[in-house]
Amino acid sequence: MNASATRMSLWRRRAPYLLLSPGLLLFGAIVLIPLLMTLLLSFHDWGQYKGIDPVFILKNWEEVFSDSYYHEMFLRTLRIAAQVTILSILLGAPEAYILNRMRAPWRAVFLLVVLGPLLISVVARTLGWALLFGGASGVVNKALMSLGVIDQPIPFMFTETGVVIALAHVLTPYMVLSVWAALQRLDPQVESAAASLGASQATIIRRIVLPQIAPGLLGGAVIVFALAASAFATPSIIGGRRLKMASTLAYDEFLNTLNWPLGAAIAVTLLVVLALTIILANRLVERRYAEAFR
Amino acid sequence: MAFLALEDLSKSYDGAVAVRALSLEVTQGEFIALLGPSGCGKTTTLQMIAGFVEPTGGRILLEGRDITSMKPAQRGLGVVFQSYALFPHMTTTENVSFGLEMKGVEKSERAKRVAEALDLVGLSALADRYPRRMSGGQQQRVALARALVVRPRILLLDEPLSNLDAKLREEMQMELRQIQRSLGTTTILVTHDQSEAMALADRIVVMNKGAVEQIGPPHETYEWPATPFVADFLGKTNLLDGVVEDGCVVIGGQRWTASAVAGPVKATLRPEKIAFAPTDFPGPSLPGVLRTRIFQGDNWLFQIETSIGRITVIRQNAGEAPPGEGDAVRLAWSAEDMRLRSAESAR
Repeated sequence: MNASATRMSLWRRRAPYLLLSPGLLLFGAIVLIPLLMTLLLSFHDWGQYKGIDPVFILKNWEEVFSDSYYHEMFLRTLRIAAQVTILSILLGAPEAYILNRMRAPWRAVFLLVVLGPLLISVVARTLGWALLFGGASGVVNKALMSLGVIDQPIPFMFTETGVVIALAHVLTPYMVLSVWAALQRLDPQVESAAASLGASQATIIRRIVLPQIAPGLLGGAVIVFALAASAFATPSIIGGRRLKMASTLAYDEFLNTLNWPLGAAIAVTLLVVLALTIILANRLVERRYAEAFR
Repeated sequence: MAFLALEDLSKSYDGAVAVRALSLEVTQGEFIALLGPSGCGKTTTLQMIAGFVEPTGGRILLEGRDITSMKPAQRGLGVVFQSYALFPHMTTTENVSFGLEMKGVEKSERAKRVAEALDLVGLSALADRYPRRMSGGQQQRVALARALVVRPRILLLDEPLSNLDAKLREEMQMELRQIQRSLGTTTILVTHDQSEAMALADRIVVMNKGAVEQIGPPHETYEWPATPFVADFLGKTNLLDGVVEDGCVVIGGQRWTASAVAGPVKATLRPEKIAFAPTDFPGPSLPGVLRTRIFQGDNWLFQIETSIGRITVIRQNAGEAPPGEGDAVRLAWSAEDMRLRSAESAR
């Protein structure tokens, strides 16, 4: 083999890595390095007067793991995310199914209605809820009270229920899109086949449609769960300071208390908990509906 | 009384007629083929029988009972779809067993009947396979077993073989016919393939533009096409212009005996009924020049230019050398192989 041929084969072997390198560099620069720095930050010390002290201590982690305040806050975050996910499945999956069966002009119209909220800022949508239900001056509360239906304003602001409803409103379109994509892969004749074999509509949905759209449901659930658990705007407007979730707490530690190391520990914990939950859910669903994922 | 009766069955979509007043009586155990080009309404008819499409007019009677507006689930029919429509998340056994489950058949009985059905279609070895891991022919068999296992009153087949390659299609045709004969299940097949319809069915319903053109046994329909459309759609055909006079039909100056009303006529003539006449042939024969010659293995296909236009001739490949392109030939056929229609009624 001559020299140029050797150079050629060397180039062949290295080409994929060279071609990948711009993407890898960008990924490293904007994801990995900040993540590592956040992780490092969580081991630093912090004091009211001395600020951040670059030493290696476990103080922040001990605080996060031992203080029941943080336990409660993380449990609440996961609970809210789970409730939002379930709500978005209950609302989004039937919505997608109906959407998929609509005729030509209406399907496009209602798809726009479903996706419309995504075109409006999360802050604006959430403030809308606050305007409707915010205390005694909320529009709905005012109307219902003047009609004599209720004599106390419906508790919505600063409640967990309020955060769950507002988040579900914001995130359900993602579920609809994900399930809709799965439904479009379905052969409509399969439902007819089940009907001709004597299956009722309910049985068709449970035994034939649901197992086939399991990947879509899982995909939607992962997106909704992750976005709900890490949501910031909605919990900070509806939940406020009284009802904190992981991201609002981390924000407060960073920008109000200025305790960056503690905020970093909270942020890293949220990331790990989220990743574990999603991987676990993935495994469970994929095993249960193995054939649908092929 | 007919087992299945369609009475003036009609369907129109926003003014566009898909099926126009179709009437058909099917006896028990009969194999019927709905044959026609795409868009002729044959699939819509099948879907109305199955209950997936609601007719805009007419009635469907099954064993004397009106099932026109009954839900598909209650009709007790077996359907095999063009796409097979197997449940992709279920194994062969689960697919076949589904219909029995819906009927509430007990588990041990279910297993027995599923095994029987799989045996019938020769798929026992693939009982635990998922549809995506099977070939088209195998999926086809699963679909057939799934439809037959519930012992349907009628088996409906919607272009079941159109996705298979030619060789496999012929095999499945044989098998389908055997299975249907042995079970005696009344069957309605929808197809656009005339040879499939003729191979399988006891009677063929030829449809065009939503209406029935002819109903009859394959051989009769082929030999005695009721309309030019049927003649043209069922196999190849030659349409010749002629004039009837003095008990003869005159075509291209040659006279064949015919007992038809005098006047201009259209004669349909199957290509395989035409022979090359020897030079000393005593009867009428049409001169022409052989333009193209195509070898098809079992047959030769010729196009002959004559004074009355191009004529297609098919001769069996019997071993002797056929005339070559450019040769002058004479075409002969017997008078009774022509079907005469007065030129007006033939459109």
